[in-house]
Amino acid sequence: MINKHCFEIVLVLLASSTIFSLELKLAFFQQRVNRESLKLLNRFQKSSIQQCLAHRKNFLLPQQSVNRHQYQKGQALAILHEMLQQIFNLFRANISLEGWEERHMENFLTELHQQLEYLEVLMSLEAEPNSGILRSDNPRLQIKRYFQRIHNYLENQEHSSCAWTIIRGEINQCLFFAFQLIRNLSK
Amino acid sequence: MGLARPAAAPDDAPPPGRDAPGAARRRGGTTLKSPQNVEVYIVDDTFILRWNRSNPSIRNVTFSAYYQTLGNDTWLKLPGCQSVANTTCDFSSLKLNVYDKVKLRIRAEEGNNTSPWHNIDSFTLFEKAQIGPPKVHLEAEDKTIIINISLPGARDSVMWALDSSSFTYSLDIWKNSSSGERRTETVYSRDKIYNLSPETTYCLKVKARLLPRKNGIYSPVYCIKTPVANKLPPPENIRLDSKNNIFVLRWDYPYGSVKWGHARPNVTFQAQWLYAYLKKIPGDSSGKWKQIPGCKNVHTTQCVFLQNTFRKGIYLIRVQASDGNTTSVWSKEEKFDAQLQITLLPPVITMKSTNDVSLRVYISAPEESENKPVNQNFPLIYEIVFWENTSNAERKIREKKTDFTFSKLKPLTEYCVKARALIEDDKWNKSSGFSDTVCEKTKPGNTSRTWLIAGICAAIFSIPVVIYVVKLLLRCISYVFFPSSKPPSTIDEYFSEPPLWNLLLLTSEEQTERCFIIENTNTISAVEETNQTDEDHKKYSSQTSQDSGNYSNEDESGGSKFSEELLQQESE
Repeated sequence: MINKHCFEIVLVLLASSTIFSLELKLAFFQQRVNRESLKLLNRFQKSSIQQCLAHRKNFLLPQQSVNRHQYQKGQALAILHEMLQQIFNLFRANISLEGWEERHMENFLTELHQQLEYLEVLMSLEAEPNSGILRSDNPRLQIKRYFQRIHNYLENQEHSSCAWTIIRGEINQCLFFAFQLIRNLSK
Repeated sequence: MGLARPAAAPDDAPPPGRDAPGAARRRGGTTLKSPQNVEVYIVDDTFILRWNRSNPSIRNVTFSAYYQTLGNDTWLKLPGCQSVANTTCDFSSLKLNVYDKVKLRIRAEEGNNTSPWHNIDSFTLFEKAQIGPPKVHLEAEDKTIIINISLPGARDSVMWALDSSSFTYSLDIWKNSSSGERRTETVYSRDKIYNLSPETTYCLKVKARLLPRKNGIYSPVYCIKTPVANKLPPPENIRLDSKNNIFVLRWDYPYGSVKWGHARPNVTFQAQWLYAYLKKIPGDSSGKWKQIPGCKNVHTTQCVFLQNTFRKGIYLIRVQASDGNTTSVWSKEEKFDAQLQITLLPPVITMKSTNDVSLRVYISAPEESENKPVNQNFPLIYEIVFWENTSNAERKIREKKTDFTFSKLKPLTEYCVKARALIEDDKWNKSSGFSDTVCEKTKPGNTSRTWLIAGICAAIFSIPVVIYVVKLLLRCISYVFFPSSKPPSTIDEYFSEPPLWNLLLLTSEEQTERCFIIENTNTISAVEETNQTDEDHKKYSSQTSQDSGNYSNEDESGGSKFSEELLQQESE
């Protein structure tokens, strides 16, 4: 136990210099992604949120299990990367959009893509701990499971507009969690 | 099936007896052992369980595997792996969540006789899975090969359902003729390989990769021959510069109208852009390229467009040459990050000369508040060019630090420095323009400083000497040219008196000695008459002698009178 903590402390000390810059950059990203996702969501608030309330579902965002430990930087980056990757994957298939919406979706995907590229550069500098250490609890898999639930839900709802409205709300929450993770990372 | 196995040699096994209903597990002294080296082997959506026999001698042994999911205590039959006579079974039909933990166990069976269980630690199918060899479709066009890689796994793959846009592909390509030179590139699922030779057969193989550390199995080797080169080659070396609020897109076209004017006077160019993220999405994005405004049918090898044409993000740009009805293939697709392009500005340098003949250089980010975050936080490298102002010999160094020192320089020499910011990693290779040149003179070095100190010390010490010398000189001069006027003899006499006074005082000190010597008082009267002033002094001296007198008054006065007499004698 003590060993583990020592290891983490040393890692945090080693990483703290780079974390700071990472935090700044990601904070910047947070602003912009938030803006784009809110734009997407606002449209729905006007029209159809009321009628979609019946379709709500708890997708069990793996918030607690991810928040539970103080993650090493490598792991936190992996969680962020998996999350953004999955969000990208979720929305890139969302093709039947009207002009206005499509433009915002393009902006949103562009932001996500850019951040993924940055993250991959950072990750190449930072070794991701082998999932073997955390076999019982691979955070990447938890994120995958969460998105699997989302995909299954969309399929069950036959990709109805209401289902998409619910999912967008959910993703907003997920992004919010991602930003929280970034903040924790920089502490 | 089991009988056909060569491993089941009858000689080292006891003859299998008929299984009596109540027979124990023991048969002829041998226990049925559980299988060894049990291994789960998963490629894409194919799940295989493999093991080794522990009792090769026993015939009719079959194997059965069971599975258990997390949170479920009952063991269920593993489909495809029941009573298998072989040492491998395929359980691909198992419909399990690939991200959930699963436990397996397997045992050998022979009739009612069973071995102990061999348990496999819990695992997830996804973690065990390897990425299978991708299918590749090739097309050759001019000096490029167009590759089209299909996603690993089946069309409706469950294993990679959530990773379809996360794959990257690593490609190995070589000329068929030479087995030597291999080139490895990271490509998208739809991409092109550029800069190949025409009419040459190339072979390649591809593997998929998935972060963090899944490396796929290589595809089979595919070969294709490039055709004869097109008559109209594509533009090359596409680059983008940002200035104020415009982008300048430039390219090279050595065959066109610009440089080689006569060969193809009517060559025009057009440039297109694409969201780079579309390349991550499997499928054809070739229809999504868009015209760059202001870059259609241009006759020059550059075009200009406003920066706000592109939002922040990553884009691809390509250029094509046309000459009448013939068009070239598209150029290499150049990736650019609009934000980075704008914000990768020349750094600002300040240089200070320090005392030890060194120059300290500080690099700071340019002052542009809006776009600061990226420029500051991207891991930048600075390339610094440093030279002596009078010579052309340049020193080029690369630094990650923003504060460093050039030492061991020549004293009192002017040096100049300029720098640019670079981003270099496996994804980007960009540089800013050079900063303004800053020049600075080094301070005088250590050696000259000691001389200076010595000089100052010498000067300080020499000042009194000089003053003394000057004084002497002045005295000489004044002696020679302005001789001191001698006062008249009377005045001289007058002036000569003070020494007498002094003597007077001195004698008063030496009185005691004199006192003993003098005895006759005859001369006193004569002395009294000589001088008025002397009289006064006599009074005075008698007074003083009274103060200090240990002797008689007579002696005193006699003494003083005697001294006066002496004085008179002296003055005579």
